[in-house]
Amino acid sequence: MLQVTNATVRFGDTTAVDDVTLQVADTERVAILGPSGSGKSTLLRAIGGLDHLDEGSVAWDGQDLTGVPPHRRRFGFMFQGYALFPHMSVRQNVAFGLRMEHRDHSEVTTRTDEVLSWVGMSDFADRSVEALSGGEQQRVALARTLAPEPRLVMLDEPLGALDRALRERLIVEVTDLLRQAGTTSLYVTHDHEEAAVFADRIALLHSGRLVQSGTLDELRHAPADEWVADFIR
Amino acid sequence: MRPGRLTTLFGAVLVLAACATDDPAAERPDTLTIVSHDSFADGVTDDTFASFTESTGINVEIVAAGDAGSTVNQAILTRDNPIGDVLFGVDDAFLSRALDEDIFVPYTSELASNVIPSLFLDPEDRVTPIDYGDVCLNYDIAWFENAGLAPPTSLEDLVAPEYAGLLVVMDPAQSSPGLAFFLATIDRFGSEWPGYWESLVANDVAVVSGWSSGYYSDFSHHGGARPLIVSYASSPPAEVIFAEGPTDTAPTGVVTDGCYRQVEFAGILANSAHPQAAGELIDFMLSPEFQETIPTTWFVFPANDTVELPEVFADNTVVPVDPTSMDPAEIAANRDEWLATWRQIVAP
Amino acid sequence: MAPDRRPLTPRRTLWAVAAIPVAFVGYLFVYPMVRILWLSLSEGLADLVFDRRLAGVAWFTLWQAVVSTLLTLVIAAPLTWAVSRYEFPGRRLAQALVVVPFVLPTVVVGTAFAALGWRGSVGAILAAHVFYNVAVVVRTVGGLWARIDRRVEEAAAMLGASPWTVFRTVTLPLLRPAIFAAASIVFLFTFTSFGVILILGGFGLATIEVEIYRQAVIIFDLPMAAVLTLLQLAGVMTLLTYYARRQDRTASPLVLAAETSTRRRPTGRTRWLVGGSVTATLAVMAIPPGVLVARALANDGFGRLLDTDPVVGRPIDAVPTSLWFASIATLIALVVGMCAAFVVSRRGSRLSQWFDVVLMLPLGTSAVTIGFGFLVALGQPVDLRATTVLVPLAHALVAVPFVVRVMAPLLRSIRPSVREAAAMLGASPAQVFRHVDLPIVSRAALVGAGFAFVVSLGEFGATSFVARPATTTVPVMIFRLLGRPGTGNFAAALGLAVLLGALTAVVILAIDRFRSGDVGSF
Repeated sequence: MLQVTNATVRFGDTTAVDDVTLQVADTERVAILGPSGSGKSTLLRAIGGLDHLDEGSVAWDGQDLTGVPPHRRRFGFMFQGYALFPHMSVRQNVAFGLRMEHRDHSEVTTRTDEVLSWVGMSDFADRSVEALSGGEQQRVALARTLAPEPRLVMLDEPLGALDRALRERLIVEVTDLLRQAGTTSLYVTHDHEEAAVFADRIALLHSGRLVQSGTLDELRHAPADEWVADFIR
Repeated sequence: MRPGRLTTLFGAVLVLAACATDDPAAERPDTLTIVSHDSFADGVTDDTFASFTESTGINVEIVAAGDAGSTVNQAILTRDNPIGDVLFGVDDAFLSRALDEDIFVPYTSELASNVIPSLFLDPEDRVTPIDYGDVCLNYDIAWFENAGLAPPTSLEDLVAPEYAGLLVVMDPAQSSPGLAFFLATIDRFGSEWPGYWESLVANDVAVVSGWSSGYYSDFSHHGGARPLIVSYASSPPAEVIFAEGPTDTAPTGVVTDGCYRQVEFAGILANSAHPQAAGELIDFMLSPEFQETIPTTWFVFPANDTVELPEVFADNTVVPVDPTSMDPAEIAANRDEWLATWRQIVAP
Repeated sequence: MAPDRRPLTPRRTLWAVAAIPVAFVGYLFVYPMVRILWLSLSEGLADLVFDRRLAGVAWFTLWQAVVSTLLTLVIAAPLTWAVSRYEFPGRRLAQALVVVPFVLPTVVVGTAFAALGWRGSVGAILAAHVFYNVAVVVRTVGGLWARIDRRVEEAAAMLGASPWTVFRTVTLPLLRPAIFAAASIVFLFTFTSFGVILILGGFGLATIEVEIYRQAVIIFDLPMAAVLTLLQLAGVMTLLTYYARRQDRTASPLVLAAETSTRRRPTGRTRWLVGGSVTATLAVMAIPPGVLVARALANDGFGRLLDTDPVVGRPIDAVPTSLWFASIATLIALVVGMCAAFVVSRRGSRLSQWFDVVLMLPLGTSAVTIGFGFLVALGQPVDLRATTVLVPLAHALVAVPFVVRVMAPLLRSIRPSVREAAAMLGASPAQVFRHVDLPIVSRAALVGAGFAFVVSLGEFGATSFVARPATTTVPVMIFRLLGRPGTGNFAAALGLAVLLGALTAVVILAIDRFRSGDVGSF
């Protein structure tokens, strides 16, 4: 279980994440929803250890992770724009996390093939990632994130750059994959329909503050304030 | 005395003992290196130091370091970690700088008594005179005969209109004979020397950077266009020795006025690992065996006056009447200023 | 994006990596410069600056640079016009050939003009400078010219402007930023010219560079050399500052088009003009290297390389020395340059901005200044001056900026999220560097290594100060051979120059194969 307590991130004079407390239960899928500039990406990066917490803490199953560097958190992070390694093939990208764990060669191959088949990219294994389309890159990025079986998967606007039709199809696929794998996950988006498809629960962020959390229906029927009602409509 | 002190004392004795057995002088080197100017290196052959190697078992290597000036400069720059054991070729013009920079250790050769006394310029014996030579104007005899013109006989003649465009001199900043000739003019004309040089420039003097390129490219006897050049009093016998066909008479002559006497010295470089062997090498360079080869190899005169001159040398050398020389301290004190003024006159 | 996100690389690591280039540049460049400053102040700076002789040297340096620059612009113009505006068989070859002189070591260029028998004249110096720098104009001005939309010129023609008026009122103003950039580069190169002038200048013709060398190495007046160095630095810095200010003014994107759309096949009279410009320029430029090779062959210049001269030794022995030094220098430059590029590429940190400037300083200063700095400063605490390592160190110092310039843009092009992705997948900072940064820059590293190697092979200015008889490199050997009497030594100098030119060309060709658009130009 992920426990974020009183998390605060400041950049100079601006407070990007302001005193956020959030819990995500095992296997739960939570969407962090908010307009651009609401601090949702920063919150995600702080959970991953990529941004420094000025106040508060991040813990997993009661173990404090605040000072632990990103590469020792065993969290998965799927970046906006995917951040694939341009000098590696599809297979090498997916295998990277497994190699960092020093798993033996045959296990790396088996697991890579398995994950690639989940995302339907088996035929592309030896291609260069630079030759892939946007949707294909997205699948490889997802496979790369899932391959080392992280205890938490974080997705930062993973469909942001794709066109509408593709997004609608992919969001379903991603959700199914994560549900089947039973992975605890956090999904950052500004699109409440995506959030509704993906998440068991939506956490609504505004100006760095967590204003309300619940299912889309709960938010719709009992908005905490006028802003929530306006944003969710 | 506490035991600590005793240990220290004992240690010090050990170190001293170690130093004594480790004395570099006691160790025989395989090779000694002479740092020298290019013209010296030019004349060295396998035979030059053969008998020294035979009697001592030490090989001699030569490192050529440019002209006399840059040889001394390099020795100064590498004083703490010298590139050789002996420096040969510092002349009176650069002597003061070398001595001021402490690049030599004193050494008095047992053969010093055979050397012409007037050649010793350092009372502390940090350098030993090896040879001397006179820098004089040379002229191409055939050229002057063909032109029906008499060769000049004095420095004053050089500014006369009939000698316009005939003279080649060397940059005194870069060339040892160039500096010698320059010093001769300063000695002759005193504070009026800039005026003399202005007249030389007006008379179309050619300035070259080094003696070799001037003598072999610009001098009419070697295919150049000018029949008058700053060179050595011993250049005519050199022409006889190196002549293509058999000949006894030199094709070039010497103007006996305005000559300058240069003395070349050798010294043991400070921080050489083998000062004792280096001393033996200097002894060898003063020995008749080496000194006899000096005239016909480098065309200068042996410092050891017990040595007899070869016939061709005796026959073709005009000994200048009264060669100039200048106190090294005076040269050192004024050299930079003189050169700067000279350059302004010659290359404004 | 928030302006100062916490960087993935901890500050500690950044400082640790920065320590290597900082120590390198600090000890080998900054410290010597401070010593030079101190030396010149010790001698009453003011007295010397107003020296008449100094004024003469400064004046010659300035006017020969101005004339060289103008001549280069004028002579390069027809070829630039032809290769950037027209498409014809052999255009690419012509563009490639014109770059050859630019990559040749200055000593080779000087020797080529010496082979023409032109030593000791201003004309020879100007000709060599033009020969050397035509490539700068063709590349810089031609690069922009090839992208100027023809329709802009056609619009002017439709409005009644004659071809000459179109060129004068439309094309020339549009090209101004590139012409200015090219002129600045050529001016900088000719202002700090050393090898060419030392070889071709003979007695009396000296730039500040040559005068520094003369004062330091020949006359041994170190304070005077120090004053000249400061004068030189001031000149170069003024120029660089001015250049940096003007550099922002680039061409308006409004008039730019794809290169392929602007090049036409020449027709009618233009065909003769294009053909004539290209053929004539290349033919004239082929003369110096052609004569060099021909005279080397005719005088058995290559056979002479094996003859031992009592003073300079066996000329061919300089080749292994140079190759060995170039290898060491490349290794040093690569390690130092890579650390520096790593620091510089971490955007945002103030350290990296400051660092970038300091690293480029050795490039802005002349090689002679670097050599002189070594001479006056490296006597303590360890006397490096008498050691062999000094030559490759000097070469590495000259080469480091090249390595940084090639590698930093590529390192910068790696998006931070790619490194973060690796970290989230369990890679430690060291592993991120090994698995992400290193493989991406490996090709650039090869290119940087190639540049460092070529720089070291041809380096003459700094080497002429620090080379010892036992450490004679090929350029220094060529220079010494040129100063020795006799046709044999001259022939050997020609042979060695041909060899050095060929060696340089081979390495440059190898670099070119590894190079692509994303790896910076000179």
